[in-house]
Amino acid sequence: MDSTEGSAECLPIDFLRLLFGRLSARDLCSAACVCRLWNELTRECWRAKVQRRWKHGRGSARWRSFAQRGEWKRVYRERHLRDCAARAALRDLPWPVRREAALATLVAAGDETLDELLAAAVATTAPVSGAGPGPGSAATSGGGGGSGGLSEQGLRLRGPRLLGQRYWVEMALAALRKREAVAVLHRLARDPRVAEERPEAGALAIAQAHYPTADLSGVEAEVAALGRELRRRMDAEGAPPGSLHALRILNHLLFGPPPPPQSTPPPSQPSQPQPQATAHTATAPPAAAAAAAAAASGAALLATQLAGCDGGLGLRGCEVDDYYNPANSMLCDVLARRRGIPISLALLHLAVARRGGLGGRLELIGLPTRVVNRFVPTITTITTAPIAATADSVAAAAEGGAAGSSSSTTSSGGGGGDGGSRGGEGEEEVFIDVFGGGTRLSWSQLRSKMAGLGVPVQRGHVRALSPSQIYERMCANLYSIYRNAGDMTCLRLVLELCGAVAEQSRDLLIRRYRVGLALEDWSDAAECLDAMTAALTAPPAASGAALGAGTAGAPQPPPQQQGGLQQGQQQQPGQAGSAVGSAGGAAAEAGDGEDQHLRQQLAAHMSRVGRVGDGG
Amino acid sequence: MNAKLTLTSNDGQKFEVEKEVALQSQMIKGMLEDIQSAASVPLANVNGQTLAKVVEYCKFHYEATKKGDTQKTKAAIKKWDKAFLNVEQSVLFDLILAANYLHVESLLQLTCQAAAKLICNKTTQEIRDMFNIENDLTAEDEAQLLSEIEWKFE
Repeated sequence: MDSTEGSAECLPIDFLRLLFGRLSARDLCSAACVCRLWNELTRECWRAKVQRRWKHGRGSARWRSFAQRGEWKRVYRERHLRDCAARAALRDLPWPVRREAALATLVAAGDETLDELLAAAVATTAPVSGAGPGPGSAATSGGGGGSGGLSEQGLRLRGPRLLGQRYWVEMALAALRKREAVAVLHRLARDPRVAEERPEAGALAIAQAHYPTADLSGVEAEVAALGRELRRRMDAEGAPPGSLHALRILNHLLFGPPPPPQSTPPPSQPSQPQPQATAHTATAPPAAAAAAAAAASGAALLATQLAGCDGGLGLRGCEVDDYYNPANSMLCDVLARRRGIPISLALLHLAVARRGGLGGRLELIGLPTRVVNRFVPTITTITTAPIAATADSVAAAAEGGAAGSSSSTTSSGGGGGDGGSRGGEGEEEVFIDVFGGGTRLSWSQLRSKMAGLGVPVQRGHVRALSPSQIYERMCANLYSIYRNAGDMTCLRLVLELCGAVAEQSRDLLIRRYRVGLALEDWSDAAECLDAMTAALTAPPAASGAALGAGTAGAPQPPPQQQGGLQQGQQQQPGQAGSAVGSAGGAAAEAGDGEDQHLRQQLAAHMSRVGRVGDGG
Repeated sequence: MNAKLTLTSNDGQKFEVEKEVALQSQMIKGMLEDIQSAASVPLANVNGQTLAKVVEYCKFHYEATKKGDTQKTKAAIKKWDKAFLNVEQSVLFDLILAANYLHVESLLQLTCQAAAKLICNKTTQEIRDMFNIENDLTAEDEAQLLSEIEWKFE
């Protein structure tokens, strides 16, 4: 057998497949030109290559249509070119003159650059292990000279540019994640059904905007896992959905004491670096994000820890002096630290209940200064409940009855509130004080508790929050935290998030304008002015129509503000509008030299806008 | 456990190995499951020179895995593998064929990586020469495929 001649010709097909799977994209292209057989065989490899290299941004219609026709090579090629563009943009970011365009390129590409950016962030945080960010064969074939795009990236980024590069990658990612979060919130506000099923989605978007480099998908998985655990326990204890018994199981799962001590230490560790990290998103090093990711993965273990035993998560309200920590609003941190503020805890409670199919009616009730959950069971299961619990629920039922009789008078006298809240009479409603470790309260107990906090609540206050109202309230919380801290960067972030869930009310615009000025971001400030003028000069009929549409679409837009806006318009007719418009135009093309002039001009506008705001 | 097995290559060379060593080959394993008492396995597709290499490989890896899975032995294996593959191309191709035929998974992976290394950063013509393959593409196909190579790989 002549071993030199012909042996390569008859290389087995299986082996060639194996071989091509290991080649870099460049070598694969060269191999495709060798002969027909190789061309055919290499075609099969592109799909795996695409899927291995890009984890994000697969959903776009363009890629899907290519994929359906089997043109994976083309997908790879085009995505590769986009990555090259992203890399070029990343290099341009440090240039003051090119920054804006570069950032716009990156943000416009959206999801599709995410892999590139994340890889760059990883490469900067872990320069030693940066050679093999791509799993599997990218690392193994990397031995034959840097070939895969990612490993090249890892190699190139090592060196003195590291710190600066990391900063800019962070910045680009923050911009991208922010835009994404805004889009998600927007979608949820438009499509309440999704928000109804997965109420945590919006809160996760808010957290994602704060932790741009972290992968928070683990949190959602965690919520789902908790939901499965809830269902399992409900099945195990024979608690039908919609019963008080089921609620008790849920409360125990979330607020009950954690299982035996040997499993508790690991999750408590990642919580240490959190508090500081949240407050400075733009400057937060990827280490903070990595910590958040670690927290998320730590949390992912959590449901499996709970799976066997009957312990709980041990969620509870944060300490008093920690109340204004933004981490309390981020679901990932709430899960990792097991501490939160009422609204985040209530949201978690609701989300797990939805995932686990708790049944009944569980709602977030936004009382003044406090959020509690209300549960209205659809099945009364006093007979099937265990003995100890029976006494408990009988007592609760008695209280509920008493509360019901007293509250029916108030609710009929007070005009009944909205349709959802007229549950007091026959049904037994239970309030869950999520902040106080999931205690179950009757209406009278709740009222006396709130009175103890110095907040008298009435039946009319009991109103279920829609998901978008929940997110709005979360954003409002964060807003006041950042405002008191004077953190302008975060303030702007939150304002943008607010803008997605709330109507673009004038209040928001004014706030954004002020923040823009404080940050010396003239173009953004000018944009706000433009938007305000547009709102002011819009013909009454049109804005009236918009108002009507707003009320029809969303349950509770702020109509008074819109009305006030039109009144304000009468005071400053056309002249303010044109002046502001020209300021906006000037700001757009303003170079560095004109800053001073522009600042004066904008200051004048600001005082004028402030007056309008007071008048309305 | 020290039962021996005789492997015979197509040019009549005989190699006596421990059964455990030979069992790294899935093909021999399957064969032995069919005929349990077999003491000799004829391998019609492998020549003596190649079979010697394969046996050498299997012996070393059998000993190495027995030592345990530590950082040190891993490094030693890597080093040995590298030296083992320091052969002429024709030998490498024969090894590939043998590994494929005998179904020795780890050896197949190893040779595959070596082959990938050979291809790395070569032009199409160089690959053809190396693998001794004739170009049977039509001219336009080839032009099309060549144009696809020229995307920027920085």
